[in-house]
Amino acid sequence: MAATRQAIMGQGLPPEAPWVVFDYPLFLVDSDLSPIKTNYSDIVHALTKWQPQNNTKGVFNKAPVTVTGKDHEEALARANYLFLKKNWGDGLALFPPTQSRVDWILTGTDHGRNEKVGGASGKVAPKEGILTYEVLATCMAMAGGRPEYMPVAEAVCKTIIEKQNTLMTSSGGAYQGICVNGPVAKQIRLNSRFSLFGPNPNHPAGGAIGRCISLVLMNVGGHVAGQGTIAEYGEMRFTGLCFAENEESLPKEWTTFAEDKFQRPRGTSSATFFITFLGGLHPFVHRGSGDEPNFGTEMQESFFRAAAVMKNIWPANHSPAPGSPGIMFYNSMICGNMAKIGWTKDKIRARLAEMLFATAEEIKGRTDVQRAAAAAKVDLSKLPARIPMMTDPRNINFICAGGDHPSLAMWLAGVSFLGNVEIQLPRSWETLLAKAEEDLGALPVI
Amino acid sequence: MKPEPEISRRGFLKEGTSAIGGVALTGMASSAAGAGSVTLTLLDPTGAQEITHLFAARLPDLNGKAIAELAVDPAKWQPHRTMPYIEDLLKKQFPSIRFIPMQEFPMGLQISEDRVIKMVAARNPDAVIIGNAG
Repeated sequence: MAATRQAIMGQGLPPEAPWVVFDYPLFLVDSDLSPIKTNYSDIVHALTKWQPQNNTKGVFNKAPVTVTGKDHEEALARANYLFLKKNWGDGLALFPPTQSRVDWILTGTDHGRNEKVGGASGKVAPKEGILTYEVLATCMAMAGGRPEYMPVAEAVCKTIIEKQNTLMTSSGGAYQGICVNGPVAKQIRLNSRFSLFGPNPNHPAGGAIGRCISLVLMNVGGHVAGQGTIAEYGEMRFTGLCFAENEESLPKEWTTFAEDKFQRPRGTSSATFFITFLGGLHPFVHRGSGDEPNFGTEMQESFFRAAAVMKNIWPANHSPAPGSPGIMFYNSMICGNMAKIGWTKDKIRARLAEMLFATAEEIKGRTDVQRAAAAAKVDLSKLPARIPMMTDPRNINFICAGGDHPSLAMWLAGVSFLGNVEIQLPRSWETLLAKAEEDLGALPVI
Repeated sequence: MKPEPEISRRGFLKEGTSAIGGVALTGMASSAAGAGSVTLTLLDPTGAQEITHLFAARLPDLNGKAIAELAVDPAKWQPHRTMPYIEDLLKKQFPSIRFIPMQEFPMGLQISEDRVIKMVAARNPDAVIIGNAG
């Protein structure tokens, strides 16, 4: 019911509705429908007599709140308790978004605090709260972020607002990701190497930006567990994925992800926002046992292992399918090794795609496939020996990132690319970077 | 409201006579807090909410009325069974009630899209039943 409330708010209605609530078993296959009869009068009441509590249109702003403690330590603790009580937090400790801290974060943009991000409605689905630069800076402050992170967060939020995607409200394992290309990534210490998706004190930007975006989705968009989202496991939703492509170590003849996918000229800073919805990250062993006769053989054997995890999310296909988009992460060492023996991105795509197929034997006994085939009038007895699962190799997207070690590579399955936005820097950019160096030390070497 | 002076990330976490301690004690004088206390004013991270529509008036009598049905899912949550069941119950009490079945509109998460809302409005129903999800 809470999720429905968020959806109703997203339609510009007050946070209430004439709903009739039933217990979960009613909605299962072959269920007993008699609870509808038992509660029939509630249905009639909702249609004929229900009255809303709210009868006023308009924009309802939120006032600041205060917390008090005997000292700053207690005030900090109480601020965090308040965040939890108000469903503003993610469960981990947050920085208090005081006016001064939010003002500091706002130095990372030339936009006015009350401007709506993206210039249009500024509304974040499904709840459709209005995201102003001040609200974005508030979330960034809470996430422990810095002003120089704002341009990336702003670019991501422009996509979020424009696309109004509600995939993360569902029960599935969807979570968000951000890939940054261009010089900004290194300037703000965004990670492109070891512990790419994990903690890395030398590259703190990804955690804070990713967490800021999570807070925007939760606080402004209403993606609160059990209320605005019914994600069963909610994996990776503290920060999502937020990383950079390791452009400087990309093989010379290879293009960047942003060039490939969005035709962004190299050297342009941009942020790609995506959602993965089919179980996310699938690592596989890239390096073999070491007894391969040559490097080319090791590569070919790695492709078999890659195909195994890529097939792992095989849906109920009975006919050739274009395939579900995903991202293949190879670190720069692996990319370089492949490039040395003539593997291009297109050649790798084509090889992996031809290895993704299902056989008639695999389908045999799968009643879900049989039903789907029957509905589509497909004769399963006449299927070819191999049913291609990825007829469009362009669905395999490459990003060069991860620690330079030959052991593993990574397939991110079921990716919906929502947009790529060029990152706009504020006039004070150089000053912000100088301040970051003063606060955090020199840029890390790796 | 008096703005709080800037506090560095590290300064905030310091113990004792840190920047935040000094700042907060200054702020305390203008607040209702007790001696030696610290007050933090926190901005709301949820954003303003705009209410653009109000709920339609209820229908005093369902006889002669057209009820549209919208399904969040075609089968998984069983609307293909629950909607007809509700129809039958309502028809018994209101014999001249009419229904515009869920199959005549797109089904799924897209029912919240403007184009679907326009499709429903074009059929001029008196009410809409939406289900099944929550």
